[in-house]
Formats: sequence, C-alpha cells, structure tokens
Amino acid sequence: MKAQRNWQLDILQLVLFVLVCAPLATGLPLHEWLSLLLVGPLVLHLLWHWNWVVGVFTRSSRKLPSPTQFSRAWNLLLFILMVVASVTGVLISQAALPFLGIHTAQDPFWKLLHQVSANLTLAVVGVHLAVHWRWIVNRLRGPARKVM
Amino acid sequence: MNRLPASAVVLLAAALVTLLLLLLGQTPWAQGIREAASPALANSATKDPHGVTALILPFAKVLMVMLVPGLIAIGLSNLVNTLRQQNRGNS
Repeated sequence: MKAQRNWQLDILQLVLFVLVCAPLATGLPLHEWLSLLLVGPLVLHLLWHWNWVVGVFTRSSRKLPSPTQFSRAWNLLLFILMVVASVTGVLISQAALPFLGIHTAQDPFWKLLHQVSANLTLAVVGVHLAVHWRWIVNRLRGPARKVM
Repeated sequence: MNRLPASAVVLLAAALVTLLLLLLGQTPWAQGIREAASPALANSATKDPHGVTALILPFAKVLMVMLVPGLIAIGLSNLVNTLRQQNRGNS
C-alpha cells in the first residue's frame, strides 16, 4: 500500500519534472505553472521519506553502509540543486509571478544560475533514478505479473 | 562464448546514448564539438527547429541528459559488484 502510494507519486513527479525541464517545448508560461505545481509532490516525497532522511543524517558516516553514504550525499546534492533552481526560477519568473501581481527583476546572473542548476539537476536525477533502479524494475514487473 | 558482463552492456549503452546526444547537438558542449568539427554543419543546426521536431527535441534532450549519467551509474555499480565477487572468489 505504502509502496504503491510512493510509486504513484514518483511517476507523477517524473512526468511533471520532464515536462518542466523542456520549456522550449511547453512554452514559458506552462513551464512556470508546472514548476509551481511540482513543488507539492516534491515536498510530499520528502515528507514520506522523512524517516530515512532523519535516520541517515543523524548517524555518523562510519555507521552507515557505503551505498547509503552515497545516497545521502547524492540526495543532499539533489536537494541543494533543486532549491537553487526553484529559487532562481522564482526570481526570473516572467509569467506566473507577474500574473499573480508580483513583478520580478530580469537579472542575467539569476538566469544563468537557473540554467546551470536545472541542467545539473537533470543529470543528478538520472543517477538518483539509477540508484533506485532495482525498485523501479520490481514495481514495473509487479503489476504486469498480476495482470497476466 | 563468454557472456558479456552486465556492466559492459550498460556502459556501452551509455556510450551509444552519448553519441546520439552528440549527434543531436542539443547541449552547449555538443554544439562546441560540432562547431570545432564542421562550422557549416553547426550553422545549419543552430537554426530553430519547427513543428513536431521543435516539440520532440527538448524532451529527447531531457531524457538523454538523465539517461546517460543513470546508465553510467548502473554500469559502474555492476562493475564494482562483479569485481568484488571476483575478489571474494579469488581469496
């Protein structure tokens, strides 16, 4: 039940994330609104894995197995990159925030930082998915077996 | 015939995807390589794509930029596991 719930949220996040990462295809307004929409599932993802977060960040590295140490560092990097991409995205918003009556300054520095952090996030998410590849494959195989 | 290790297959897949990514030239570094290789080719590729291509290319770029590091990670992980198992077998 819990795994199924996580799986559904992860699929929603991945679909939204891929859409958000292709502003040339979706257009800037949709890119910004979808980015704001993505915050909800991301926060939920973090909350649903909060026990793991507390578990790995309250223990010293020596007490953790190597794969968990790697996951901890990688997830921290992902979190930092996502925060930077989100904050800089808000700072350079041209559609969503002006629509809400909040006007932003179009600083090239924030634009550059947004592009760099967003591109890095893509690669880091790729490895994040790879780390959980066995779980993903098991989830994909699971429902198919039940149907057959 | 010996079976190809899973890590080799995955790393090969990563290399192929990287090659595809280079050919598509959707990343700045790929464009740099293309410009160095052939200025004429680079100029033709910098023109804005239209229609379905304009819709598909950004998604292709996103998926491939995620896929390459992911495949490399899986390949390296398999490689490390294989080497560990071999070491255990030898000792």
